[in-house]
Amino acid sequence: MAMRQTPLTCSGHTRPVVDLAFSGITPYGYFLISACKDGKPMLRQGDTGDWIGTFLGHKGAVWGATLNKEATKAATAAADFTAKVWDAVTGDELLTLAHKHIVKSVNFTQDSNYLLTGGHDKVLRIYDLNKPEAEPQEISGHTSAIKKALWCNNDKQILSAADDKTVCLWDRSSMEVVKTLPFDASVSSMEYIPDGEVLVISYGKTVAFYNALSLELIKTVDVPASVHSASLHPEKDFFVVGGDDFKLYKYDYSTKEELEKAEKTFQWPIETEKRVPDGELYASGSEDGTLRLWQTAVGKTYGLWKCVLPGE
Amino acid sequence: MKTLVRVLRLPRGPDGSSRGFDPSSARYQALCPSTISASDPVDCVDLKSEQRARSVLRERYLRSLISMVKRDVKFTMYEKVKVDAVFQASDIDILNFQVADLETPLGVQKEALIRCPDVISYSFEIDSSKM
Repeated sequence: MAMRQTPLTCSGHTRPVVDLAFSGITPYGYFLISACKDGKPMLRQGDTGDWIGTFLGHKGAVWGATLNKEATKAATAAADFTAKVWDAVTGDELLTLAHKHIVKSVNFTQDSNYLLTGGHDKVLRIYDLNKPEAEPQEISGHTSAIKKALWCNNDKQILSAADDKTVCLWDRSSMEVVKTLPFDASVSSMEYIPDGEVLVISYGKTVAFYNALSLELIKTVDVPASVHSASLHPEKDFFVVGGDDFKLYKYDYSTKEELEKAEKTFQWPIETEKRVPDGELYASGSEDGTLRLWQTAVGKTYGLWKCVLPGE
Repeated sequence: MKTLVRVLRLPRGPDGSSRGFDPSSARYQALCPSTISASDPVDCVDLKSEQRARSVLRERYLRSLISMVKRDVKFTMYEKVKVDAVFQASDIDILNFQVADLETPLGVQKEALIRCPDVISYSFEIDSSKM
C-alpha cells in the first residue's frame, strides 16, 4: 500500500526561517536549531520537532545558526552585527562577538573550541572560545559578502561561499587560499559532509557535488527550479532540494532520478533544509515561518510517525 | 490512492509564556552546572539543601522586585551610563524592566524599557518605616 508523506509542521516563528542546523547524536537524542528573521532562534528536539527553547537577545534578524556536536552550545549570526554563543542547555547567552557588519554564518570546530564567522564585512574570523577577550584571527580575500563559512578536513581547512560567486578553500594555519571555485551564478547554499568529504553546492538551477579536499567536481544535477538549498543524506543515497517553485524535491544520488516531490500547501518558497545525523528525517524551513520535518523512509515508525499495518 | 502516514501527535510549539529550556528536563538536570558553590549532583542530601537555598534566594529576589515597585532606582549600565528611574515592573524572564520617568541626558523619558543584560547593577532604598 503506497504511503503519502505526512510532514510534521513546527510552528513558532513569525518570519522567514533562513537557516537550520542539526547537532550530532547525543545521549538525549539530537537537536535542531532554526535561524529566523524574527531574531529569535529556536532549539527543538530533532526527532519530534518539539520546541525546547528560544534564544533571546539578538536585536535583529538571525541569518545563521549552528549547534556544536554535543548540542551543549549554540551559535548564531545576526543582522545586529553580532555573533552570539549560547548555552544550549539553559538558553543563556554566553558571549557576544561584535562585528563590523551583518554576520551571516557561524560554525564550531569539532572540539567546540573555535568559532568561525563570516558576513557582510567580507572577512572570515576565527574566535578562540576559551579566550573570548582575545582578538579573532582574520582571513581576508573575498571581494563581497560571505554567505557561508564552514570548517572542513578535520578543522584544518575552511570553506567559504561569497556573493562574488566564488567558493574558496583556505588553509587554517597559513590563512592562505588553497583553491578558488568560480561560478556563473550566485551560490545559494553550501553543505559539507565530513564522512566521505563531500561538498554540496547549489547555484542557479543546479546542485553540484565536489570532493571537499581537492574541490574536484564529482557530478552536477539540474533541477526544474532555482535552488534555495540542497542537502545530501549522510549515506549518500539521496539528496533533497528546496526550490523557489514552492516545492521540495528528493533525488537519488547515484541515478539523479527524481524520487519524490512535495507540493507545498502554503505560499512561500523553501529557504533551507537539512539532513539529520541518523538520516531518518530531513527538515525544511520556509518563508512563512514554519519548519517541516519529512521522513526519509515514508511510512516507517520513527519519532512522531507511526507505521500502520494493513488491518490496523 | 496513497494513504497519508499516521502521526501520534503534532510537534509541540512554544508555550508563549517563557523562553523554555525546562530546568526539570533530564538533559538540564544532567548537564547544567549548579551556580551555587560546587556540590556533587549525585549526593541527594546536598542537592536538596542546594535547591532549598536556591528557592530562598529566588523568593528573596522576587520580593525585592516587588518592593522596588514605584521606587526611585539608580541603574549603573555599560558604557559608563548611570540613570535614575521609577521602577514599574519586570517581565517574567527578568530580561526587561519597565520604568517611568527615566532621566537621560536628552531629558526625562516618561515610559521606557530597560534591557536587563545592559544593566551592571541597580540600587534603591527600602522604606525603613515599613519594616
